Amino acid sequence: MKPVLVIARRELAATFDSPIAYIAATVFLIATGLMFFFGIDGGEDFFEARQATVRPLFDSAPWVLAVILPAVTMRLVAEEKKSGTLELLVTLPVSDLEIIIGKLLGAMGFLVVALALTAVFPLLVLQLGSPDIGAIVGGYLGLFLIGTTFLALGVMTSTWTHNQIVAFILGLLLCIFFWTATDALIKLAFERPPMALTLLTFKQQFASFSKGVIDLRNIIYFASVIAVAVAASTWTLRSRNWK
Amino acid sequence: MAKQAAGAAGQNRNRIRTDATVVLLATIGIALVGNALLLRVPARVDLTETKAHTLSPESAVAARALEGVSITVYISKRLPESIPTQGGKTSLKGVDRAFRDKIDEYVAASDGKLRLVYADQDVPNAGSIEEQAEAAKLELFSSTEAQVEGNQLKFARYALGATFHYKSVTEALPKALEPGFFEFEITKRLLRLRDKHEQSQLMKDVLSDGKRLHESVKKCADAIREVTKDSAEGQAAGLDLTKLATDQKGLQQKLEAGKPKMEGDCAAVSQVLADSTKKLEGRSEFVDNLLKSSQQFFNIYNELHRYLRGEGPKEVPTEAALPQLVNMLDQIGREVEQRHQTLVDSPGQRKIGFFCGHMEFCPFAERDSLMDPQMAAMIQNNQMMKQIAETAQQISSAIDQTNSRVGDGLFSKQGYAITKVESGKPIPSDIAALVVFGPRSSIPDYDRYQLDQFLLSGRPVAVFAQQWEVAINNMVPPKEIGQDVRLDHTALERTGSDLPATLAPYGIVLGNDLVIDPRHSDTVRVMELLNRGGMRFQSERDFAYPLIPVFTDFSRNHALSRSIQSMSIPYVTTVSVKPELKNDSRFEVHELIKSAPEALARDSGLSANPLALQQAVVNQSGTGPHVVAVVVRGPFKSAFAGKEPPRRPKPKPRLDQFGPPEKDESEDEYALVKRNFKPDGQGKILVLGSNMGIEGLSRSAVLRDFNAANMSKFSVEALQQYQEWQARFQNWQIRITQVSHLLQENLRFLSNVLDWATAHEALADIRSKGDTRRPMTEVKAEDARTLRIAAMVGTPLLLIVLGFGRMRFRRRRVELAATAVRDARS
Repeated sequence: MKPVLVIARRELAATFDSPIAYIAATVFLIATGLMFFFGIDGGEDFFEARQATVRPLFDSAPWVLAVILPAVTMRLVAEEKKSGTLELLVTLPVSDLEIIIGKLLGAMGFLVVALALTAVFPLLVLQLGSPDIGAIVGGYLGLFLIGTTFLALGVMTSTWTHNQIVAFILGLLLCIFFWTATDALIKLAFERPPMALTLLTFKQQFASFSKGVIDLRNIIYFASVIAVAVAASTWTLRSRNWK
Repeated sequence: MAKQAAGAAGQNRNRIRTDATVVLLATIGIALVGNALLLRVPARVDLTETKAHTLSPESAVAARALEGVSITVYISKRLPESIPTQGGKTSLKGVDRAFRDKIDEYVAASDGKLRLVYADQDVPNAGSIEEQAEAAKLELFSSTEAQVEGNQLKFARYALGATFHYKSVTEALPKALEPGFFEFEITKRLLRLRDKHEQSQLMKDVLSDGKRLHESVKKCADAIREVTKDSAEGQAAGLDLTKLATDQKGLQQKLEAGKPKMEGDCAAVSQVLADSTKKLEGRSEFVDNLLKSSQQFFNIYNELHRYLRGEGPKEVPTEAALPQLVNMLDQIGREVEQRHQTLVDSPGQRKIGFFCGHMEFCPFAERDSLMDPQMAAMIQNNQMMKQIAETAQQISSAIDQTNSRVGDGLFSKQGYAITKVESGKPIPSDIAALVVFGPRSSIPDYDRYQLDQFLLSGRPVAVFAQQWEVAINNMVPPKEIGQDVRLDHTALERTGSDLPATLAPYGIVLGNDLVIDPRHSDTVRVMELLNRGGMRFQSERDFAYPLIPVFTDFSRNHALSRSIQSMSIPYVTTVSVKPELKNDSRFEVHELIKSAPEALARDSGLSANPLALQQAVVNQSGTGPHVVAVVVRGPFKSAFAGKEPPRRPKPKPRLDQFGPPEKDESEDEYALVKRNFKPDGQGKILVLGSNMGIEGLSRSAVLRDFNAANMSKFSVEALQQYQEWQARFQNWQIRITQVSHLLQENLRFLSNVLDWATAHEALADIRSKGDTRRPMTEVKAEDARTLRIAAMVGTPLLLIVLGFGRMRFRRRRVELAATAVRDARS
């Protein structure tokens, strides 16, 4: 476990040593702020709606996370591959799985900081009314899970290439695909899609969190996607042994 | 050797690859299997304060209450993204899943007593899911997107609902589109199922005779439909009586050809109707309605029969008589079907009486006609007066139609059995609860006595007060003929209600004031007439209105208010309970709704003008919190203790000349009233100091000074009165529109009250859970701007500053380290 934490700490420090973290966090805060105050998808202006709810944040943040997080993860493995430091890393007494988990945990540190910075919105709502705290807690848990899933997908694409830009674009496409495009594709493919397929969309899985309901099925779903992404990343990393 | 080493390395590589691939595939497999297994396991934690997404204990009890309930769920395979609604469109994303989940929760909570079946379109001969749903009396709905089928543009229809079956009784949830209210809708059906089953056992004979009658009429109606098939199809495509009239010969031939079938299938109607009338008449209003419609069907069938036998109807038929008769038979046949369904649904329904006759909200049509036939005949020669009388009649009909539609839409269709309690008449004994909704004139002694004795009988009474009439930009009729209508009557006036005096004997103090809250107020929608370049425009504007306070302080100890988060109640008066009642342990007092501490309660010096009122009260310090709704339960004393019970007023002469005239109260009847007088009794009463924006529309309020006798002679006053009636009718519409945005939520509270009154308190609590709105303090535009900028720019700026600080710190640390290395080297 210790090596995982060492890698995680190193990655987190490296993330905040580069300007990318600050740019990503700033873009994230401004974009979610805009969507929170002015509405998303035909939503109402926050002050005009006069409802003590943080739902607009939970509706908008996953979109922004889907764009921002691949930018954070793009360098995690791709940069190490390009600069050759990955070879150095694998000579250390750590397994490939530990490397991937360590890097993912490091990126999760960034996610936690970014989400913590959005606390300004619920605090504002608390000041102006009495929102349902349970729903806020549920929403943040959902954001954390979906954010981690995006990070895992980002780490996976980062293992596929030496080029950070390629890793970012692939990560972005995957995140957007799972967040929203699956819906459209399933509908294109099936006239009457089976229910199991419609549940592939992250949006569907995230919906109950933002209402304040923690459903075991949603947790298992996100955990499964994270586990598969981590396994796939490990497989890619290991593939250097047989290539 | 090198070859062997290479071979071993290759084997090793293969092993690593196989191991890694196996791990990857195993992870994918476990993920897929785990998700598939958990797909139908609703294990979840509801973090919301009101547990809005978790079954209430009452719902779980309802799920376990009956052994062998079967639920059939109808969900179209592919639902649309959204459906059109009044305010735009409603998204249906995830609604089907939420419905399945909710039903699953009930099944899980039922300990195996509920059986779940999904309607399946793969069952042979069962038809599509939509067809099955329609047959099960579910309500199909359309999407916003039309599809081209053949040469026609059609809106696909969808089903999302369920039916609940228990032994011989069925309840339908026709359309399940609001996830927040799924629990309420399902629990309501389960509770109804139990009541319905119990009561239908007692009404077995009525139901079985009703069924026999319905079946005989249906058989006859079906035979006529079959015989006249093409014409019926023509009617379904859009009734064209002219065309039918030209096809009359063809229709007549068809009817003559099918006469033996018709006669055979309709032969039983006469006998069954006679038997049923003998056995069932007067047993309940639902049975009477079925009998009435069946009788009507039979009469028209007889007319048709006579026509076909060449005897001819009593009057010479017009060209379109035959198609009209066929069409009427078709319609009345359907009506009989509906009446029968209402009868089947009636067991276990508790009747709610609406007090009428005091200018209150009374959702029923008037029985009497406006003018007596003699007077109508007298003014036939005066064209002007005839026109005025006709307009009055039109207004009267519009009032009746509006009231009937409101009663039907708001109550009957929601499953409430409502009935009119007329002024000057005793309250029928089968009424389970009484609603007094915003009377604006005084309640006569006799009606008060009825109310008093009803309360003491232990049945619940719900009182909604309307002590003020608030007119903002109401219509003013012109003083002179030819002048324009003005839209500028703004005033606050007391109504003629004497509810405070009516409620005082029961320890309830209804104020004469109005609650004003400048800090927590909703808006009023005001219509204005604007003059722009000589043109008149009509526009609407929303104003924050302190006379519509937003209430957020609700009693958490009463089912009626426990789960409500917020309510905007217009023009509300304070309500309190006398201290002696509060301190009496025999009484249970709940102060349901309280205003914010910043609210004021004033009975004079107020302006109805939103801007003037806001300015006048904005800086005044609050005197709240003010209580605006209470529920009191306990041993009340009669307001008529030690007094003679009032005599029933003489009945008004019937103007329609139909039915027998009503008799005066006889001495025996009065003696019985005296004997049955209850000086005290356990009762429960709810009082809310507002009509919640649901203002009554009554003939007595709109056509207040209608005097048929004055109609017989022409006068300028009569013309002015005519304009005033129109203005009053339109002002009702204006006032309703001004608060229409509040009505949906307030109607929910009214439904809660009706559930509370009909002994389903748990339903009130469950319904309120569905409403998750939480109001926020109003923020001025400039403050909102500041807060937006602070939240959106402040945090990122802080982050950037921190980033720069960290980078500078790091650079400094690197420089220091470099210096230290240099120093060490040197």
